[in-house]
Amino acid sequence: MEKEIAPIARLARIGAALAALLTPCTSLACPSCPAGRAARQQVCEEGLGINLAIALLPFALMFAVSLAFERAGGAR
Amino acid sequence: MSNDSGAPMVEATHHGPILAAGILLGTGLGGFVDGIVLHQILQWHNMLSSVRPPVDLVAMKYNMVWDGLFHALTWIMTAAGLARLWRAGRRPDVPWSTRTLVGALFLGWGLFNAIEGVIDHQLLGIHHVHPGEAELAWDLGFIASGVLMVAGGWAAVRAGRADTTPRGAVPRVLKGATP
Repeated sequence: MEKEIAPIARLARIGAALAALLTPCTSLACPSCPAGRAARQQVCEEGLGINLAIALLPFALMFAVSLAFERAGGAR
Repeated sequence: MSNDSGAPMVEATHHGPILAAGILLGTGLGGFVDGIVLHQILQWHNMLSSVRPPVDLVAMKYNMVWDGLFHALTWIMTAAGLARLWRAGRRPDVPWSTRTLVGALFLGWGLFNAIEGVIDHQLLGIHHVHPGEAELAWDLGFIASGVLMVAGGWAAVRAGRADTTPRGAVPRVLKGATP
C-alpha cells in the first residue's frame, strides 16, 4: 500500500514546490508590500532615536579607542 | 642610514597609525563575523531580538532593518580602517609590521566583542548570543572570547614593537644577507 502512495506523494511535493515558485506569497522580498511597510513604520515609530544610539554606542567607543591608540602609540 | 636612492632613511618607530588602522579593521571585520555567522547563517539572534522577538514576518523584517544598520556601521569601520592603513603606509616613520597589524586586528575584534557583549547583552539586554536556558553562559563565553582575543592581540602588538622597517624598505637583516 505504502509503495503505491509514495510516487503520488513525491509528485504532489514536486507540484507544490513548482507552485510555490510560480505564485507570489507573503514572505516574498518586497519593497512596498504590507509587511515591509509595517516593519519600516515600526522602525520609525518605536524608539528610533534610542535604538540608533544603542546601535552606534559600541562603534563610537571603538572609534575613540582607535584614536587613543593612535596618540599613545607614538615614537618610542 | 639611507635608502637605495641615497636619501636619508628615517627609522620607523611610530606604531600609532598602524595600531589605529588595525583596531578599526578588527572592529569592522569582527562585526561582520558576528552579523554574518550569528545573525544570518545560524540565526541565533538579531540586533533587537530580545526586544522584538522575530516570531512573525513583520517582526523579522523589523529586526532585519536593525541588522542592516549594524552591518552598515561595520562597513564604515572597515572603510575607515582601510583609509587609515593606506595613510599609514605612505608615512616613512610608521613601521610596516605584520605583527603590529595582526595584533591590532585581534585587539579591535576582541575589544569590540567585549564592549558589545557588556553593553548589548548584559546591561541593555537587547539581544543574547544564544537565547534560551543557558543564555548567560553563552553571553559570558562571548565576552571571555573577546578578552582572550585582546590578550593575544596585545602580545602580538608588544612583539611588533621591535619592527622598525617602513613599507617598501628592505629590513636590515635581509640587507646583510645579500651578497
